[in-house]
Amino acid sequence: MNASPEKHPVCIGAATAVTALGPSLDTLWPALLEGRSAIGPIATRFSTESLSFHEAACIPDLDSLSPPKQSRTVELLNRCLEGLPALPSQTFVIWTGVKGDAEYVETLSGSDATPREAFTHPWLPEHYRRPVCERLGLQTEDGLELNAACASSTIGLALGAQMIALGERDTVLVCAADLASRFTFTGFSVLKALSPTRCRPFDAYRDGLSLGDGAAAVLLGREEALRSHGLPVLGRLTGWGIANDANHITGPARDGCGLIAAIQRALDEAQLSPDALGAFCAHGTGTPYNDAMELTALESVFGERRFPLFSIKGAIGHTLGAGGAIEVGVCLKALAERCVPPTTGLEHPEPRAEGRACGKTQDFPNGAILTTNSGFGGINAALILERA
Amino acid sequence: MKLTLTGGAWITAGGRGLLSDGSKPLLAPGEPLLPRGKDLFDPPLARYGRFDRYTRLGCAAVALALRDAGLAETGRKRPIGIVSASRTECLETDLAYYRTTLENGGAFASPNLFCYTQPGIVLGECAVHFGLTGPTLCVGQPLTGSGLGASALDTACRLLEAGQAETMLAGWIEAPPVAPDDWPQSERLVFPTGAIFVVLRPETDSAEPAQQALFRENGTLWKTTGDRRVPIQSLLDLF
Repeated sequence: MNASPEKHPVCIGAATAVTALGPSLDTLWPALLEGRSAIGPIATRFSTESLSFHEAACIPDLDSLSPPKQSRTVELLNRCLEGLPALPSQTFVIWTGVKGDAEYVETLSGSDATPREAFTHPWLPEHYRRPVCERLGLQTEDGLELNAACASSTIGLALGAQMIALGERDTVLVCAADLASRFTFTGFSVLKALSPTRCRPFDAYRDGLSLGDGAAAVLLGREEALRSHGLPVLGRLTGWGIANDANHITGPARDGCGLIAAIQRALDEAQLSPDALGAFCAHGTGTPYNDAMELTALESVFGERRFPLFSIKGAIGHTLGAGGAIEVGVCLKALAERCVPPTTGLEHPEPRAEGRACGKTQDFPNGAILTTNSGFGGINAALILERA
Repeated sequence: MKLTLTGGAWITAGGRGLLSDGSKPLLAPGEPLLPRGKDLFDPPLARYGRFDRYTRLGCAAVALALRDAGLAETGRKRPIGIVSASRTECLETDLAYYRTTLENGGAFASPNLFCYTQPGIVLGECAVHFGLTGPTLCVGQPLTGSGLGASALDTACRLLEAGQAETMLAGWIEAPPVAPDDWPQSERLVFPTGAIFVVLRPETDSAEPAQQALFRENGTLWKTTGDRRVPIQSLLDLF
């Protein structure tokens, strides 16, 4: 048998996010506490006249850019990277944006059914990851692009944590940027997954998700590596788990089996019992099936115990591949401030969410925090964060 | 960490083969000839014939690799995961889907095509059919400086080492958009089309059949040939 290698603790040295509620976590956090939502009519980015849905959480000034010469995704990513401190030059970069080529495809397609650039110069995920390295002055071009749908940055953080725990890397940066583009908006619209009103996670009357613009970057590292570069330890990433529910390519397993397995793997990795968790930042998309599945998984792992549950997607929309990393940034704030934000949009909690999720700030004095994401293809991922 | 390679399969324009038959993947230009669905999936994978090229290639190669490893059963869930590398992923489907949004303001866009604009859907199809509950994710295949599928192999090994699955498939799928016939050769993508998957698990004390013993040390995967250690830099090095 293989001997278990000694594992290094994984620390978080920096986290930044750009959302429709502001250009940083420091602007996002108070807005969440106030229960604000950035979801509103799509003004100028594209026409929704022929669709049944018309709202998203867009960052307005991105709409003045004209792709392809001015990529909104690149601009969003650059704004996010501006919020990072100087990083160790050997930092390994994992790019987890999921639909970076949407803008490219939209621009190419126009009225041309066979755009030549798609065949001669296709836009690839590494076209985001490599500029991140260049912009941050990282010496290494060694990195990875990862796509696991809406669980991408969550899984990117899990893989980055594994690299550090196994002693393969000293520091890993996980970053992503995704837009509420015409490509994705139209797709979720015809899937009838969008809310015709507003995203209301865990509400008895929830009726779908809202899309949002978002970018995030999270730096993981060994404590000594972070301290030696003058970086703080904002929190610890102690558990991670990934599992497929093997149920359906776009619908979650009603019994929550994949999410349950991911949470249990994360608890095992963190060597924690379910009782050690004090809060849960859910995927909470606001679709009837997703939220029901999450509540089923929560009850399966944690029983009837009630502790704070929240989702931020009613505030900033579903930011696809960036969502997990943004939520990790919010969890760090929750750990530091010892409270969790309201679930914006939630007015009438469904019965199983009663005493867990609410429209008010909840105290979170002790324990670790769990954050999870699930995505197309049946994938589920869970992370556990603890205080520094 | 000691690992065992228990199976593998490849499909390219140069033909197809299994790890167990000793064949070497041939990265020839052109379009691969895919096996029929009824020769791959029992029970049938209903939509196989209607899948886009990327999804069909991936499902076929995963099915053959699982069969080669003696793991092609269905009907129960197992902690097996898949990591797949690609350059162009599902770009062809992205273009096809987006074309459906251009008329009537997007009101009649194809929901079916939209679902397949996520590159991991092919892995989800395999997970559902074969009951695979391990991690499923796609990673990039760099344009230069990295062997075919090396990023997938590295990621799959790391997931095994971290105990996130009992068995992992690592592979590569490439189905770049097909240029119109009348386009000059200089305007066609030179990436080969095809799919290759191998099946890996940690070495155990049990006497299960192994096709090759491997070990991973300091982030590098190695095989032993005679008394020499040979680094694995590509999926091709495993056949």
